[in-house]
Amino acid sequence: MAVAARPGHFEGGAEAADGSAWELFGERHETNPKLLLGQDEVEMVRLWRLTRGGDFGQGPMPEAGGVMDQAAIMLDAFAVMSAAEAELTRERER
Amino acid sequence: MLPISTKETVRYVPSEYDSLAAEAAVKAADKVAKITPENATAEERAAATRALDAATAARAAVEQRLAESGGIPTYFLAVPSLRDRLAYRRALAATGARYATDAELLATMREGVNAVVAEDQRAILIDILDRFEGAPEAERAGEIADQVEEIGRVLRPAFAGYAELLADRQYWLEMAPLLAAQHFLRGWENAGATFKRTGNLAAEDCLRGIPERHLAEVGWKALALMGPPSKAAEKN
Repeated sequence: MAVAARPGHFEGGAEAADGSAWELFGERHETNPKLLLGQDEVEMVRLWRLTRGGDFGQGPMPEAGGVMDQAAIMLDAFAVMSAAEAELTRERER
Repeated sequence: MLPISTKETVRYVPSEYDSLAAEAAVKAADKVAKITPENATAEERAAATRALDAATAARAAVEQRLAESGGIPTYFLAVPSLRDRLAYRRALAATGARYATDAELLATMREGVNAVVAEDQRAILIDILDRFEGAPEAERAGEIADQVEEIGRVLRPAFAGYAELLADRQYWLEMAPLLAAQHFLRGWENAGATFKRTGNLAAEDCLRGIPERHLAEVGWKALALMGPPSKAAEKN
């Protein structure tokens, strides 16, 4: 989530150029967290963004049908991602 | 595992036939053995060697089982929708199963200590329980965990409230995966019995035809497909 929301923070290689580290959701990462991401994670962010829609309401869900027809685990994952985004927004506003 | 769709059927191979997992365990143990520093104690080096030997033996056992088997038992699981999960949770609640949390157990242990332990010993035991509960989850191990376990051993036969909570937890741990297997199994191959469904559930008589250890594992996998693991699932 953090990599998708703030790509500029994760540019460069495995280690921070200034010798520091990445602090995310209370955890310190010595290695660039971007390197932990695979195709599945990128796809999850894409799906999450689609479901959020825009100013005019909810976007499409991944599966046909209504909310009750969605994979429960996917809805849980989207909720976690939304919470992470909210935390990042709060951090930025501080 | 994510993203995933309810249109998919997940294939699950029990751990005793899972050669990839056995190989990964050997590699992980080998890595630990190799990075154990020169100045580590003899006990630490011996523990790393033992872990590697155990993983290697487990891998050999998996390979032998695979060589002797007529085919790898494979179970097919549905990915639960939100509707499916609600139906499952309702069915689980209807069995009366409830998971007693660590906080509930510790609170009942305190009650038990106050009820059945000699007055001059209570403060020591309550202090142990407080320190255990106050410690981060990762540090609830070693001596303090042994002491709490010992308090539990004393309370089980002496304080009914504690014994009942433990029984509740045990019942949930057995019922939750069994019911999940019944709800979400869609078939299997090389497992012995013929798969059939009664209504929306896997038939109980065909479930009795597969190894009990497979049934439990399949149930926990079904629970994992339902959402992020609960504390109970994590511990199993």
